[in-house]
Amino acid sequence: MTIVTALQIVWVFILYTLAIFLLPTLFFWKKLQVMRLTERVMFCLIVGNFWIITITLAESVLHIATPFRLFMGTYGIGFIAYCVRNHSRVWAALKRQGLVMKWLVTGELRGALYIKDRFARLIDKVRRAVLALCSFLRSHLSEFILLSLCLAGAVWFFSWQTLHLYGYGTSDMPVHVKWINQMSEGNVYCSGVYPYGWHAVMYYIQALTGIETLYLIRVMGTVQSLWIFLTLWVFLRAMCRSPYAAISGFAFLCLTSAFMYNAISRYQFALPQEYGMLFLFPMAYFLMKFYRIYITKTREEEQSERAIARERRRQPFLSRVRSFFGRSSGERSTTLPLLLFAASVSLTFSVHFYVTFAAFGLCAAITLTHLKALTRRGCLRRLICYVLLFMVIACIPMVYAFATGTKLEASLTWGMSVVSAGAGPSDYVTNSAYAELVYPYSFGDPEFSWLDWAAAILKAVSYYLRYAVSSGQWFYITTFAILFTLVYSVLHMVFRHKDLYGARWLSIFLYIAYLIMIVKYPSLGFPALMEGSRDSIFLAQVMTMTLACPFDALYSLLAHWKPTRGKAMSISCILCALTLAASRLPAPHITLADGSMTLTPRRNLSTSYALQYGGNVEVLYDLFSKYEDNTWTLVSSVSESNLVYGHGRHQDLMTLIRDLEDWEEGDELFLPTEYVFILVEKRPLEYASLMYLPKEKLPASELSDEDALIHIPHNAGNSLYTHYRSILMSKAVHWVEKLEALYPGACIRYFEDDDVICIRLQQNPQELLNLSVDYGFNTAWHELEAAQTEDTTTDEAAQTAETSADEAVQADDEAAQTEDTTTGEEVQGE
Amino acid sequence: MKNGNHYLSVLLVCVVVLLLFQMVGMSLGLFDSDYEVNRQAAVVLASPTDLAAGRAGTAFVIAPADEPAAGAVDGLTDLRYAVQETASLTDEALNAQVIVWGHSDLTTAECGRLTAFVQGGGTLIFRTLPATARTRKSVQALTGILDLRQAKQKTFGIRFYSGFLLGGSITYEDMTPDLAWFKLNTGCTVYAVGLSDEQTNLSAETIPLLWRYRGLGGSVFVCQEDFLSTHDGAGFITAMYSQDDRPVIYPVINAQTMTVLGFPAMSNENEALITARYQQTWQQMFYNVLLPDVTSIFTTAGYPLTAMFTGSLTTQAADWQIDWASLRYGAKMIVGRSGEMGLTAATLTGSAASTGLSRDIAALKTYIPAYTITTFCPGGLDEADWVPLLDTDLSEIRTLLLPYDGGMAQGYGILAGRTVLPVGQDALTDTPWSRLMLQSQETATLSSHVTLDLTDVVLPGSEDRDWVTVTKDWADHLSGAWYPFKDLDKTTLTEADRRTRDYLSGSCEYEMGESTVTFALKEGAQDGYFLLRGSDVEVYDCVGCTAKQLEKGCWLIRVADWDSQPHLSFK
Repeated sequence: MTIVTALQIVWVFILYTLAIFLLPTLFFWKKLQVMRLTERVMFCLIVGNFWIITITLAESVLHIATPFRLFMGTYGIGFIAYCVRNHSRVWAALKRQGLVMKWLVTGELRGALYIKDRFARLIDKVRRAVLALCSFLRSHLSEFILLSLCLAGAVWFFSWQTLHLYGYGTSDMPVHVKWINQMSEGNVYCSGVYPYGWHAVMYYIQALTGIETLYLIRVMGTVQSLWIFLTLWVFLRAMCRSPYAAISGFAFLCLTSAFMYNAISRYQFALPQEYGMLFLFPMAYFLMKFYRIYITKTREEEQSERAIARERRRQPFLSRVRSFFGRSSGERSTTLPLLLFAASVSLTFSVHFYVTFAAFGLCAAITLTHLKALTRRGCLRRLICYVLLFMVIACIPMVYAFATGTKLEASLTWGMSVVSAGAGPSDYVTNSAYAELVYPYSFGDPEFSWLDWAAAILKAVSYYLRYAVSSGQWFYITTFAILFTLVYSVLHMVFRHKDLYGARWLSIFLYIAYLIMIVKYPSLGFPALMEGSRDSIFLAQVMTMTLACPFDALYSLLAHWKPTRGKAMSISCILCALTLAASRLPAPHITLADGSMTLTPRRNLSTSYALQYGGNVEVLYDLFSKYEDNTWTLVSSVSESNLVYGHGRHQDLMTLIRDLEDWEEGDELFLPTEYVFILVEKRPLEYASLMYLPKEKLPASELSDEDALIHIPHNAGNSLYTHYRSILMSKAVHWVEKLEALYPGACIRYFEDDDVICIRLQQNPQELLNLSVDYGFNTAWHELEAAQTEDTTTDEAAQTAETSADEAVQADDEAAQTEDTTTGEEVQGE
Repeated sequence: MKNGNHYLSVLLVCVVVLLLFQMVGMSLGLFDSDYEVNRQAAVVLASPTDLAAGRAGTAFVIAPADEPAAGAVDGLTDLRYAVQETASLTDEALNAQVIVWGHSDLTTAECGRLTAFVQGGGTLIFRTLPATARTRKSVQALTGILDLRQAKQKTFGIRFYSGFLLGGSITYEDMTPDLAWFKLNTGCTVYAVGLSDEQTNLSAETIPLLWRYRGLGGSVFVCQEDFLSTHDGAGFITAMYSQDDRPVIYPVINAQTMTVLGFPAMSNENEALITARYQQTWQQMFYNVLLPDVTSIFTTAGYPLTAMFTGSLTTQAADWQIDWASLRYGAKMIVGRSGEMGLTAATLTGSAASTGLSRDIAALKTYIPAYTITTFCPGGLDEADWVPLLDTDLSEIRTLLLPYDGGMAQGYGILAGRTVLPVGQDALTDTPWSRLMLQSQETATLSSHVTLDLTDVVLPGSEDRDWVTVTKDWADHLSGAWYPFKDLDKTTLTEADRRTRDYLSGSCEYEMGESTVTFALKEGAQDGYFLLRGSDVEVYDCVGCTAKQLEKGCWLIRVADWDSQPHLSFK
């Protein structure tokens, strides 16, 4: 299974990359040619995603989405647009091919010769491409080796659960799987209006490649994390002067235990919020580029633009609109960066509104440090127009669905409740220690001086940083890096104000400040925009940049001191390698469940939500591939209910076991499919418990007869899946064993490993088997209660009862004899 | 990469790599999601409890002497049980692995003892529903009855579900027994039901006819109708045996034969009618009208042509009416079609002397001396008339095809050194009962022997019976009752004889492991056939044997002497 999962990760990586990159590469080939590699990657990510999401959501909302139409909507429209835009070239190419066909038909050109020639050209192109690639890699060999090392570490780390435990990690994922599957049935926004950008991409890949959503989402976490890290590196590469400084910072995120599990553990899973982070730094890059072009515009360029504007005013309205959005050309064009920036903002909104909150802060931080650009003519106006236009595009599907009667999805309501100030102590950060630090102080309170207030805020910030960053050395390292970034950027802006390098670093610092602010600062009167645990993910991502800042500063110093760039690079490379070697600082002391402490060099990633075992996924894979859809029912924990959607029926184990309580003769329970699979845990999972890598086993409790004897009240709720899971599973295992005894032949042990058992019950759909059985623990509690009552009675009373019971037994025997004789006679008489 | 012109080429390379990756993955089966699953599969005849108690392989059939449960005895014998027949429940019987209860009722004491037997893990089979099961709680507790809904309910048919008898789910609409309508307890699995004709039964509820109850520890099979009295009921026992939680295997014969009786009939006994109807002489009618159709139907159905000639169909036939000269031609026609020729006595009643059996044998030796007849069907003769001839005139006969008499008269066996092949069905008689019994026979032994008596054509009992109506009935029957078994081996009587002898002598031994079966052919045995049954059992590795899936969870195994240690694996 591990090998299969690894291959599936590779497979999904290739599929995703092709789906996203092929489209813009084919149709924006000319634009890509003039870009740097890093820009190309960001361009393809933004354009590919925007195109796919827009088309898929448009078709889904109109209920016309099919694989063919999705293909035509993306590649077909692209092809038509290309032909219209380049009609003369296309026409010439067609004529040329027509001529070749004519020669082939008339025999003027030999077919074999033609094919050989085309093949030779293709081989030559591939050869040149490989050579160019090799040459490129050779020229950046050391950088790529270090980058590969970091990425390998990230992949190993973030794919560990998928590769070794197989199961889904969080309870959100099955819900998203269901939503994607519902899209394939034309039922978009099935649970309410929600940003469906990520789902649209997943559905697009699933529809065009036919890959099962269950497989896709299980391994997609690793794939999207890889791309998120790559975009982070691409942005860092653009930020830093030294490529090795970029890698140094990047390495902190990929290889070290610098951050708390809540800041990094979600990268393991395929979730929309993390996918939205893919567009955050490309957005920042293109906004910075947009501002930079405006800021560095010369007087001649401005005069030329004014002339063009005057000319435009004399044009008809449509031509003016076209000119306003303009056709980008050349390195100095502001239109393309602006388009890509606006599309990125739109994408963050399409995918997850939390990312939009972060994006807003990042944009604000960049704008604050590039205020000069806003003073330039047309800059602000164009910025607002483009952003509004693309936001409208992102909103249209949701607004349309809402306007046509679809309600808002429940998690949006939850998001709103977090956003509203004073939403209650659901936030992790709002615990007693934090409250003690911050709540006593209130802005403008005469009892406290400014100094007290500032001290309180600093304490709160440090507390929050400790929450995002591992304690111990890492807290001091990251704090130093953040402060260094502030000082370094300010100094740079003061002393080299014409260079925007310092402004860029200052933007990063301001962004960090924003992220800290938006969690919960009632004393400042700020609303809480984001839950603390979610905010820490963004914080960890941006703090890796600040960790790169000192290295870049060192490189700048070296380059200044030793003007020979090669030497500075070499020294920087060595420093980077040393950093990587030293970066595996031990993780802090971890308090285990039994109270013991351990010091481990491992990274303390937690699964956070032990939703299901690998065995569950193996069974699901098996059912999907071997059994016809809708001929089977899976009885298991609620986590699988969304995963089997569209393939089979699902029966919640908890509901079923609860219904079997207080069993009486004559009770009936039927599941109306030919096959019934019952999946129970031999080691009941400890839901939402922590686990530190690389343990092979998920945290779990043990089955016991004592637990099985506990009576489940009808109002037990979901607690049976959390705190009392061992009660549920202890009962379920006994139930399963009883079914095996009652229905041999029909009941087989379908799957079993150390963690789960799955039995398969094959029944005649016309004569269903009664699954309501007395398994010894659904009626035994009566006896237990009776026994307890009996303990309280006196010995004398017990003796009396025993005597009475004996008499009753004797009387019963006699009555039975009489009854047998009587009924026998009656029958004979009949 | 500064040279953007190579970008598309790199993408092309990626596509090629992608395709290669997919090809390699698919060839290795990595994307098939074909994951190994753990399945328990133990395959011993008896459960560990049975083995520990030393009662494995023992069975008792407890029935009145005047109402023997022949089907139960045959079935248990087929499954290699040591079967004992008694009239009452003895202590020895309670130590057996299986008890077949053939009485119509049971006393309270017997009920208690049988309950204890089942609680100890034994298997109890009720030939019919005990009379007191409608009223007495103790019997109801033993048989898995929770409540009586109606003491007698009319039905308009019965239905056997797939997975019990071979042949799939079949509804017999002409079998309309009155059944008691019970509500069954948890732990009951229903294999056959009656279809209620109750008008108020809007939810189309069915009436349990045959079920198994597992609530007491062991298995209790209850059948409201008696299917075990005759020999052809043996399949019910094997079907019950196959409902175990582990796959089971048992030997079978695997031979289906179809025989035309009275073809050719040498005596010219009804020429006037034949000439009037077919414009042919007596002998011409056989070779010009019947033979092409018979050959065609046999070929279409996949049977080798097997025909049994007779000197005379009736006792009234005189010697002058017999045209012995055409016998040689008839034999040439049949054998030339890769068929087989046998001998049958008059299918109408009479004595051996009056039907001229000795005369026919003598004629055979005179006119076709090179061909030795080894199969014989006594037709309407009494046993006393032809059995003594086995030592004299019929000494070369090896195979006896005992005729259909509305229910199988006798099971497979050896009679005076000859192999007895019981005729289960008449090719022209298609009744629900005969179909059900065919299913049973096929389940037990995977064999059936069918005869077509041409007397109905040449000496028709009514005006509307002629060759056209007979062939229509015959063809209808072939495409109906036998259709589910169309893939089984169709053989001549001689080949069926060989396989039956091998089967009876246990020429191929077998031993089951957790997921394997090993076979051992005895010296001189050519092959052996077995049926492997189990819930979704799948055979995946055969050495020295072949396996063919007949239906879901049912595999026909042929063991041949290709390998010194034939074995197979299943999961």
